[in-house]
Amino acid sequence: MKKTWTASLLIAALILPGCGNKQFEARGINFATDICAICNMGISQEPYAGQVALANGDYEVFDDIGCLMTYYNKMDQSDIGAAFVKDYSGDDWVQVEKAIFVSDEAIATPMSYGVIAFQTKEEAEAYIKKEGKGNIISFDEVKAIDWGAHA
Amino acid sequence: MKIRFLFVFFLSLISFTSIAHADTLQQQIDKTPAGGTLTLFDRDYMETAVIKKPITIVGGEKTVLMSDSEKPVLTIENTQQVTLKGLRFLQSTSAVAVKKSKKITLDQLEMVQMFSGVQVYDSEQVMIKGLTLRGLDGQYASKGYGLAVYRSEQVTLQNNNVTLVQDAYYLEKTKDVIVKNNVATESRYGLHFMYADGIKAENNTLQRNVTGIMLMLAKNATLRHNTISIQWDWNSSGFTLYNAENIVAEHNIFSGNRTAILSQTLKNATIRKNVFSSNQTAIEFTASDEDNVVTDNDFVGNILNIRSDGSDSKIHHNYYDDYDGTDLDEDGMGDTKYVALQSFGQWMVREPAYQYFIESPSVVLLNRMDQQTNKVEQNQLVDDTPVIKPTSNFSERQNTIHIVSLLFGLLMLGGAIYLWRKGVRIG
Repeated sequence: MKKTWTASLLIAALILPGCGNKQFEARGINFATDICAICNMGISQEPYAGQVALANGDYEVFDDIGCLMTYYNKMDQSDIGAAFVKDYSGDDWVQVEKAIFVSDEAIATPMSYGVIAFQTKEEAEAYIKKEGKGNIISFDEVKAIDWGAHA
Repeated sequence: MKIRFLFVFFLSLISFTSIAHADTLQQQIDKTPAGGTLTLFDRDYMETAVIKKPITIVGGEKTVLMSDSEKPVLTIENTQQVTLKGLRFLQSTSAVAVKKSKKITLDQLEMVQMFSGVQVYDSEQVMIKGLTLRGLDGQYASKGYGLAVYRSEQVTLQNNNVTLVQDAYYLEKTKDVIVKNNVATESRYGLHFMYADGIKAENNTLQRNVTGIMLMLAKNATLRHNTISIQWDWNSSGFTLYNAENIVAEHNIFSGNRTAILSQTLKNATIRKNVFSSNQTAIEFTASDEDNVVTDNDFVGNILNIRSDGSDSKIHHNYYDDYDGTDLDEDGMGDTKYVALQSFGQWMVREPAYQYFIESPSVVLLNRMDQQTNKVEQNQLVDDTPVIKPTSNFSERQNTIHIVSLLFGLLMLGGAIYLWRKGVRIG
């Protein structure tokens, strides 16, 4: 009886950790080898970069939030572990659902999609005030943009 | 009295010269009348200046312009008919910015250790010629663009030489642009066109960049007589044609590139009379339109000639050095079709890391099997009219190089035999 309990506990200890939600983390950009999965451009400007951590453990990186969203929208959502955008400062990765986006045609981005991301609303507002351009938009609005029609 | 007069005269001369010499660049520009010519002194100018009137500025033999500001050394704005000639810029963020101006000529400018060179915004009739620019060492991400043109029309970039920058020539939302006889090396992209309409890129030499020509979301481009070689990094290509339409690529020479032409969602392109030599892959089509035509090209010494993800295209009348058919009727065309389709090549499109297995025994065997089984392929990557002889004289030039190599080899061999006979020991 004691052996059975021990064996059950061991099996449970092995199996249960796999039942929790997998934590996906952003990885660093390798400027020498990383290219955008959509447009093939090298990633040279971190403030505009994005990445998707796929459920299977792979990563796809993007040079522009527009390319990230083109990929994000066409993927089966169950294949996406997490999606991240770089904070406009270029320092931190932010999950797309938590990011504050600023949009304006006049904002220069690598593919000219004109959308950048911030960690907080205060930072986004400070950018708009300083640069005199841009509107804050939600992630749902970002998703709804017809990125393919951009060209 | 005479001595006193001479003394005063001499003093006034010195004072006059020193005052003129002490003028800032901006003061000298301001003093020059509209339409006039300003010849700069042979000295260092450590400042920025703005030009708002028609003027010609010529550099002296030892004139050096530089600035520790984030601003360009010279800004030309809201004016026309400005010419800058023979100026030398050193160790600055940016040399020249042209904004909302017309009829601007930048001639024989030299830039050394610059973050970026020239930026042109919202301007017309701009000519940049004979410029040399050497950027900075380090990662591409830490550098700027060489010559960058935004939202401008009728721009000509000619006989320029740019190295060690992020993108040597960057053109965004431009119209009617001519880019010819330029050199771009050691940069991320040689020529980078985005949202451009009406492009002529001719006789340019693009070497050892990540990508020779990056053409993105552009239309109506002619890429002709360019030499594209040794774009060999991971993810490198000679041309990347992304989301482009109405493109003609002709008479170009692609040699030693990872992928000579990488195309994605390409529409209505004609790839003709090019030479593809010693590339890992000559042409790759991904998600491309079937109206693309590949004709009259020479494929020599490439590992893979044409591959695709299933995208179809019209392929005919090309020369392939691995074509093993016959020409019994001697019409210059093979009696059997050429099938470029290779299983491994197709897999490599989907998984680039497979390229490391390209000459492994199993892949070579697979390719041999493909050559036999593909004879029944009717549609994909099939050339019904392969030509027996190369259409260009590229192979003759290659032979010349081989003869030189052979003579050098024989000389080295003779030297080695001589040393051996003399009994000389090395090491």
